[in-house]
Amino acid sequence: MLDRLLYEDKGVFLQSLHTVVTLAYLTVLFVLALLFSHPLYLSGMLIISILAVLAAQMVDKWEAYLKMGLGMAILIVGVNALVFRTGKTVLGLGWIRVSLEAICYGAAMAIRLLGIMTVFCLFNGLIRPDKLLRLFSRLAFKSALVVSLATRMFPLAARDLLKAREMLQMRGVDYAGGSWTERLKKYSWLLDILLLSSLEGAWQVAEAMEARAFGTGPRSCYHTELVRPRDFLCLAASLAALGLALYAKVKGYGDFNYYPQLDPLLTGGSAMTLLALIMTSLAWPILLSWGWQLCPYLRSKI
Amino acid sequence: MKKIYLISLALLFLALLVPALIANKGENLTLGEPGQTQVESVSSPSDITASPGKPEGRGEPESSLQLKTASGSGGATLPTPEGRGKEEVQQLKYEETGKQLKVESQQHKGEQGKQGEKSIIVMVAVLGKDKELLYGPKEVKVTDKNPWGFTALGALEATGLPYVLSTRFPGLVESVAGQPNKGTSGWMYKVNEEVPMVAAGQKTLNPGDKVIWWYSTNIASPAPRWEDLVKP
Repeated sequence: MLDRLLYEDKGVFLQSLHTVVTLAYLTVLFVLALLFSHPLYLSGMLIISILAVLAAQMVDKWEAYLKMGLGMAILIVGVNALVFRTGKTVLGLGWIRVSLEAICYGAAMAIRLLGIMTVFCLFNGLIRPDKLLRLFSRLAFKSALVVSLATRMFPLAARDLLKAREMLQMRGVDYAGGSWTERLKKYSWLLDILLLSSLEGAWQVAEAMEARAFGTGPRSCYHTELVRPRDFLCLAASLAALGLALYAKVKGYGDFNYYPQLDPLLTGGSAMTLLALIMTSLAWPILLSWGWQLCPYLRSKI
Repeated sequence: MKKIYLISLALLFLALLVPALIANKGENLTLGEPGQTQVESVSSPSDITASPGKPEGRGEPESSLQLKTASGSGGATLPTPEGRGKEEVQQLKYEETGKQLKVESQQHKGEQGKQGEKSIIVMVAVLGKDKELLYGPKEVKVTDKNPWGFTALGALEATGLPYVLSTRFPGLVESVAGQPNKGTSGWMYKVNEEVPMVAAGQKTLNPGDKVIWWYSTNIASPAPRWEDLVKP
């Protein structure tokens, strides 16, 4: 389960982009999910995020997020419909007063939540943590080191715990048997092992840092991450989408009044054209990804 | 990938888009109180300052009411307050009775007078940005079908003036008759010469209460008084 949440190198196009570009693309998706309240715009952002998940071959990883997100989404829609009684279009459901507006608003918030969770899923699956930290290490390398150690701590501890549990099971410790206190005692042995392995790990990290002369003088660094034509194309598309989205926001196309009565969904040609342009810009890296997979010529050029 | 996830996702999209599409199709599916002023007396067409219509929708700011006089002297077009609501153009029929004109909305005609519905009569006045009277001061009937119940917000709803509530802060009135809150200026209300410290949707009204909604441009400026409004 934990492995599904962490970065895994699959050699896909979106993982091959420069870290700054991937970060910019995901930031735009994240900002747009928060910026808009119009149902079509929100749906569009989620659809683009799902297409990015498919292009990055991360469906199994996304499934774990979706499982959690859908549970919360159903809760949001249900609670909002039952508690928020400000809509004008009342549905006759017996003694329960549910309004169409409350259902629609709950669904919009749920779609937004799923969109944001999908962006975080993409973030975990597309950006290698080391690359991200290396990006910030020039600015604040001590902080980057601390963050690097902290982010590694939890997965490493979980892995050590699993190993220790399997090791003790192989030695004959039955975790399922015995009374409640006996089982607690068995698990407490695991904590001892985990503490020892963590201390050993800390010692090894300190030795490795010392071997690399950490803190003895000015820090040296070298840059190996390539900037390729694909990075320029995707960055330009992301910035274009952001610009168009801000324009749509200023013009009020991305806004929508849910209460007391729903606004018309299709508000005019300009709003829909702008949505199509934003979605095309955001879909550009995904289209390039599919082209990169299918066309060797394109692959060699970008 | 499990089908249940895909089905749930599809249902979520449907829950978002279908209500909005239904709402877009027409008013006839609106089951709640439509919030229309049905009969209203004005001294002349020039006194009409706001359209009795549904709450604001999105659209171009230029909207108008097409009015026809009973004598058949042709139609007159009156400007509505600046705001969104092009789709809310209504055909209003005027029946001249002396100096009084009876404005009758053809939409939602005959909703009143249903047996068994509870209602209270309260007095309401709505003052705009330039202290102009957008409504009243006069009586309105707040029924239990009103989505806000017998509250100050329910009284605003009963006036039929278009208004917009905040989606971020439930119960906060963001705009009335196309006049939106701006900075520290915005809509306030008082009941029986007291400014309640609760949202309008939570302030319960009693029969005969006097409610004033006014656009406050300065928190230090005094609130309008009912006696000043009813002075001839």
